[in-house]
Amino acid sequence: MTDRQLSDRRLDEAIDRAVREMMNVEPRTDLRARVLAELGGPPARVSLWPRLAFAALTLAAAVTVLTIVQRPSDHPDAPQVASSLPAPIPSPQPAPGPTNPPIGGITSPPRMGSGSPSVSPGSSRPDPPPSNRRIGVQDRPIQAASIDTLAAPAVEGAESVERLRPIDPIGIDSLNPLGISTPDIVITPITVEQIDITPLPPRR
Amino acid sequence: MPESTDCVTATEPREAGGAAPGPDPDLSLVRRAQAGDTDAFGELVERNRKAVFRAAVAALGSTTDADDVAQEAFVLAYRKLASFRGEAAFRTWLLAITWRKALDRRKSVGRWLRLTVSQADHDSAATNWIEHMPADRRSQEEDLAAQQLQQAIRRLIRTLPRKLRDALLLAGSGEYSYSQIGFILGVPVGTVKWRVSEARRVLKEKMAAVGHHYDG
Repeated sequence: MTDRQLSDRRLDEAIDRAVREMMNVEPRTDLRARVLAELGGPPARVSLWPRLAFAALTLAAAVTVLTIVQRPSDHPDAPQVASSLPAPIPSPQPAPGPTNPPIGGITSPPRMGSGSPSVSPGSSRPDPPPSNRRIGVQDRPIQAASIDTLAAPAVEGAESVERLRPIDPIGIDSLNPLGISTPDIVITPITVEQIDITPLPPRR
Repeated sequence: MPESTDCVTATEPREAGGAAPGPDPDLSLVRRAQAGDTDAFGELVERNRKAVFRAAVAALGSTTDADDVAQEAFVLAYRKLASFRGEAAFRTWLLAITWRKALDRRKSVGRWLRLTVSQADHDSAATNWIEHMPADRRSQEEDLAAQQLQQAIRRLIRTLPRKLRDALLLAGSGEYSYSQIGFILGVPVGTVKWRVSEARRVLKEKMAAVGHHYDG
């Protein structure tokens, strides 16, 4: 038996000795004083980890909710999709041009679909349009905003500054995409032919 | 697997203050403490501080954490003292509180972080402790071999599954009876004995795997 070969008994003794040494520890002598001091003091200190974790999760959830809620209001010009609303119906006559009076010399082009009747979600839906209707296309030309006049700046020495030339209006031809038409749907009743069933011969 | 209780070299823990029926030496002090006598509770702390502290060490492996847990356990025991009915010995009841506190600490994230950071320091401290051990009559070579073996066993004990390690350390400390350990761990006495035996078997296998052979 070599030096490193131990009998089972010696190994058990070695394990016992190791465990005893691991457990042969003494508490601090002031344990009694510390316990008695805490008995008359405030309640035992509670670990802050669960509270911090809960607070962090709550904060993260609140930030997420706020981000989701505020996202539409951050982009007020973004088109709002309302799946329950019908598509804009073209007005029967073309828009006569700008309907709003110019403010401060600035004219704005008519907004697309401004002549369409507004439908509130709670109101009854209008009758469905004919099947060859065109969806979302306006025949009117789209006109960019134009500035007719500019107010002179009330600044001393402004006479020496050359007045800005009015900007020519920009005309954009209307788009003429292909109209989308849906074919009429015809429902024909299903006819079932009569089936003759001959009985099977009885089994033996 | 059948229960093995042939721990011939295992330390048989003393039975004083166990869950077994018998006079509880702490009972009179407990009654006085329940009546509001803090000095009596201080005496209970003095009597049981070593057992409480070592149970915490067995669960946590760190004297610093065990010191905190021992203090928290005594304070909690004082606040729950009115609910102590005497079904078990006061020490056993106190050790169960300590064990639950120690398990809470063992699961805490903060402790895990501290242990991870201080592991290198702990290892170097253990090495220094071995280097400063006083030499006895044996030769230096034998001392070195014995120290290396003890160090290897302690390292392997830390790698045992928790259930086996807890039972081995509590039983091997000589501080608690098997019935007390069963009460603390919430398992029957037979299970405690099997875990101790299994811990030894696993330890021997591990030692054989690292080169410490023995005659089975």
